[in-house]
Formats: sequence, structure tokens, C-alpha cells
Amino acid sequence: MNVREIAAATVRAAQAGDTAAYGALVEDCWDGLVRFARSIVGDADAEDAVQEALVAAWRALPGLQDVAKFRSWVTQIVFRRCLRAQRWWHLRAVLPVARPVSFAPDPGAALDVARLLARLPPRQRAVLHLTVVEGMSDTEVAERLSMAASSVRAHRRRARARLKAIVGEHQP
Amino acid sequence: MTPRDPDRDDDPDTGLDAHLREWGQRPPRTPAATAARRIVSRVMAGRPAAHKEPRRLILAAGTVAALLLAAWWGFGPRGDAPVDRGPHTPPTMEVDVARLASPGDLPPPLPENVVQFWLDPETPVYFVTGPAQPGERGLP
Repeated sequence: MNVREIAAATVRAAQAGDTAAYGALVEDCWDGLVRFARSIVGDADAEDAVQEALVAAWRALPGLQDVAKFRSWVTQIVFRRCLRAQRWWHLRAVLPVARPVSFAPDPGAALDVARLLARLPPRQRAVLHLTVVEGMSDTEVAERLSMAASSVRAHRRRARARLKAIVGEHQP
Repeated sequence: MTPRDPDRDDDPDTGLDAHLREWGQRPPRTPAATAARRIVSRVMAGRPAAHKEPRRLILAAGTVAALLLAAWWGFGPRGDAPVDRGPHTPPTMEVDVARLASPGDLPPPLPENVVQFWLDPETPVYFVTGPAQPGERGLP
């Protein structure tokens, strides 16, 4: 049995209700999912968003057809949950109970990446993270985010242009 | 000049990307093993995933049964409505009034299509109901 077959067998066991198998899957993908969520919702809320998404994923797991795509599937669930959280926070921002920016400032860093990313739309942040931090190809990013590869390229181009413009604004 | 992979980032910004990578690769605050235990305890507190489909089936079957019951209750025969027994058993108009009015005796049981009024202790009035005849006796 190779690694792929073991992973597929673990997903099938979890689908059949094996919580220990699901625990192993969660342990395997937790770090990557939190890093991904952090790029969209920020440090403060990333772990909560991933935890909620993984509980929801357990309930939806029997409906997963292609067990080999578990990681892409669960990333999509995290992505949707992060987008929903963002929309809710944007709504709250116009209400009197305004929420503080979830991206914590990083005074020690030469470039405050957190605040920089906060000025991009969530989809651009997601694309940039999967490309730059995770080193994925456009096809892989497209699969994770349920979008066309051409959209991935467009989002990345806009994100880079925007970041350059923001950095340029703050340079003398 | 090296050929570009069309499926890869075609315009990397080395300066910015290094900062993004450094920021993005920080480990989560909660270790994976702790998070897994927490999530598993949460899913175990709820229903196991494998029980989801039967629960849906039971819910769907219950809904269908409730709809059928509601349809039967709404459109089916009612206790207070006349039951159509078919064309071969029409209510008869022939009633033996003399037998019904028997002063001094206990009143005999009335047929289903007879309504009895007493004008005074000696004078019963009977209404015998029957199927409506269109155009007859002022009926539409």
C-alpha cells in the first residue's frame, strides 16, 4: 500500500464513521488549513474558522465521491467559511458593533504583511497564499478554490499590482 | 533565458514574496494533535457521519406520511358528511308515517332520512329528505 492508498483508505474509514480516522486526517491537514485561513481572515480568527469548517466537513463527508480529493474538498469548505466570515464582519463593520481589524499589526517586521494583505479582496489573498506560500501551480490553486486557472492568474496579477501600488504609496 | 511554465506564477515579486512566505509559513498556535482531539470530541458529541443518511431518510418518510395524512384528512370522507353509497342505494321517500306517529308508545327509531318535529304533544311533523331533483319544487 502506498501513501495515496493509505490516505484514501483513511478517508473511506472516516466516511464510514471512524472518528479516529477522521482525527488522523485533521492532524494531517490542520497546519496547512490554518495557514490558508490566516491569509484570508487573519491570525485572530483563522483557527476558529478552520475548526468550524472541519466539524462541518465531518457531517458532509459521506457525500464526498472522490476520496483522493479530500484535501482539495476540505480546503474549499474552509475557503467558503472564511468568505462567509468576511462578509459577516463587513456587515458588522457598518453597524455600531464594529469589529476591530482581525489582522494584528506586526511592529517587528520590516514590512507589515498582515496589514498589507488586509487591503486585498479575500480571493486575491487566497490565490496569493496558495501560489507564493504553498508553491502550488495554477491548476492546483484552481482546484482548491473551485475556479478556472485563468481566474487564478487574473486574481494573482491584480493582487500583485495592488500590493505594489500600496507599497509604493508608503515609500518616500 | 529559461522557458516559463504556463501553469506557474509568471510574474513573481521576489522581495514581496519573501515577506509573504515568512509571514504565511508561521506555525499555528494550536498544535495539530490538540486540534484533532478537540475536533474529534466535537464530532463525537454530535451524530456520527454514517448516521446522517438514515436520519434523512426517516425525516423524508415522516414528511411524506404527514402529507398523506393531511391530504386524507382534508379531502377524504368526513363523519358529518353524507357518505356516497353508490347509485343502487338511494334514500327512500316512502316512510310509513302512521307507524311513526303512535301516541302513547315510545317513538320508534327514525330512519336516517327522516327529521321529526312535535308541534304539540299530539302532533308530530316529519320531514323526509331525499336526493335533490333539479328543476323540481323550486330547487335549482
